[in-house]
Amino acid sequence: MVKVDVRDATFSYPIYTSKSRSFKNTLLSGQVGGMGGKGKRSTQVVHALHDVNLSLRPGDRLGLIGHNGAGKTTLLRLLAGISHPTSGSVDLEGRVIPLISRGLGINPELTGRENIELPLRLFGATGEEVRWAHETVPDFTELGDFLDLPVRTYSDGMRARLSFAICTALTGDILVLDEWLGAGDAGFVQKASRKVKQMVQESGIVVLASHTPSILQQNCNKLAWMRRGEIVAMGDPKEVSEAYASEMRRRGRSGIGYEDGKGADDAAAQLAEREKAIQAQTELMDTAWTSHKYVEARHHAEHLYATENSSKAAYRLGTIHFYGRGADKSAAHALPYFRHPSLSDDPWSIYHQGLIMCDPTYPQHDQQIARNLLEVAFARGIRDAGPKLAALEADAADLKTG
Amino acid sequence: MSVTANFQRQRRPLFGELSNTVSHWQIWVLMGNQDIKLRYKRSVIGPFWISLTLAAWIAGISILYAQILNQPFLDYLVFLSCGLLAWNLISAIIGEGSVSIIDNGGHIRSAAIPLSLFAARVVYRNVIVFFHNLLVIALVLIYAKVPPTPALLILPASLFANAILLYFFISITGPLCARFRDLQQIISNLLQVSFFLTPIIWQPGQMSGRTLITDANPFYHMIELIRAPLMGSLPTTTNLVACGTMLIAGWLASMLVWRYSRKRVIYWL
Repeated sequence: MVKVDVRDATFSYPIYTSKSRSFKNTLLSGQVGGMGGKGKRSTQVVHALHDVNLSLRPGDRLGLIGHNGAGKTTLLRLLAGISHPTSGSVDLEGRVIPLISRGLGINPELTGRENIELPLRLFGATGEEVRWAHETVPDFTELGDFLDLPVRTYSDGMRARLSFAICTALTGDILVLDEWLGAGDAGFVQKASRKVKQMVQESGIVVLASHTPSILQQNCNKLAWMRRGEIVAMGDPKEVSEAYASEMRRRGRSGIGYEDGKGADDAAAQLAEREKAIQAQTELMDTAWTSHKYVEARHHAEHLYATENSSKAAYRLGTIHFYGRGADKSAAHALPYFRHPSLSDDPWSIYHQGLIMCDPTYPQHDQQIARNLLEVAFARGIRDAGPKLAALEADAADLKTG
Repeated sequence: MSVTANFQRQRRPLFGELSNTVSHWQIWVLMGNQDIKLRYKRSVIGPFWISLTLAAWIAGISILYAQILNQPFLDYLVFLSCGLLAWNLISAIIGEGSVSIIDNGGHIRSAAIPLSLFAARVVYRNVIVFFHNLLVIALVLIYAKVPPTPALLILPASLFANAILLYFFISITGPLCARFRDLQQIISNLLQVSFFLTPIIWQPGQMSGRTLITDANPFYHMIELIRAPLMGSLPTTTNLVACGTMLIAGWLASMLVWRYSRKRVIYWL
């Protein structure tokens, strides 16, 4: 039967100093014994989990909530068999699919297609499952011709798509997820969360760690609140997440940063206010840009980008560096902004990425990638990509004949 | 629906890791193939760079040292190239093996993968390189008019024995190099010294009377296993006994290291 039983699991690990990592020093100190009176161990021990108890049966969908460093990922690693408890026991039956880090088994030098097999094999997939993934993954990623280009040419968003599609092509009994639902770009997130819901339904047991209460409430029927390596409360998702939220409020450390003693209504009001502020700033930025006050536009964009990570600001900063307005002209500076994950679906960003990639002054320029990018942009309705594309085709033809 | 764990939990310590390596051969074969593919992806002659490098070494050393050591050129050429072929296999595996666990830290931290697979990956990709090099040796043997003998038939077994021995060896050094970060430097220094202490560019017969330097040298026996059949003779009983002893010792020692490092390696990385 599929089951997860964790009994009194404690996990602590040493942090090695550079001295204790040296074979020579360890050997010497072993020979000399206690000489010099330094008999004590110099390594520090971190206690990441204390006496954690869990018992999950098919149908259980457990969410883990808690601060960074509360031990969520450590617990997930124990469940996935990646690490082992220092004391206590972790008893699992069933096939575990650990979706803990997104880049597992992906080699940036290989094409998307060539990268499909290894991650699956690392999760213990059979040949049959690998064949099945080769059929389903290309459609799910919507990467099209990019699938035959090296992954290093992908934007962050495209990488996230690929790796999500690969890792979710398997079905397991126990699904272990770490902050996965927030992966990918806006267009993909919906599709991804539908897929995860489906996986959650197909798997017997799900353990999901997240910072976002709404994700946990939607996907889980049990919630465990972790603090400093312990489970402090476990039960109904709504109750536990409310308890967690009120604790966070008391400490004034919730994601939105409101003051002590204010209720959830205030939080909503603050959220709306923040949206409004972003809106206003975006408008300021755009008016400055259209009225040719480029330096001012740049200040607004940089502020918005730094504080809110806004996609509009990222695009604006990209154009600022691309056209050299309000800042030095530099393709190398502009490219990362256009590759911002929130922009991976934006045809204008793709168009600009294409222009940069075919610019011979850009050190990593690549005609082939440029052509692909421009084709995508053109297909998505960017007319301006047409002439450039034709010029590139002509160049390529010249090279062949000449 | 049958329920199985992804990888075998170690219930049988003597065979647990070995059976993991055998039953998950797809993983290390796939990784090894990717390694080979990537290494030569952007070069025109592709994998034959490997062979070319060996050919350059052989040409350089044989012309110079046949003179210095006052040896008949063709005999020396055959001896040297067969020795270098074996040494390249050994030194590449040991060198790459010491970073095998460190380099795969990303994998080890995100999925429960048996450590022995990473050792198998290194051995496998270097066996592929060995076959590329074998082409050069074949040309040398044809050029020197060395007739093929029945002894050649044991070459596959010799290669297999070497591969297993090296698999055990780097199963020991790989995790230890992750724990002790200076071990890798120590190993690469020792490898360099061993190249000159092992009869590869000089012949054992030239050290008249002093057999300890060859007999006590594990690399000598491993090289002989491959070199002797290529040169038309069988490895000596001493060679076989030495390699057999090393196999058993390597198996036991690697078992201990696997047991020791399996649960700890995650925080060495």
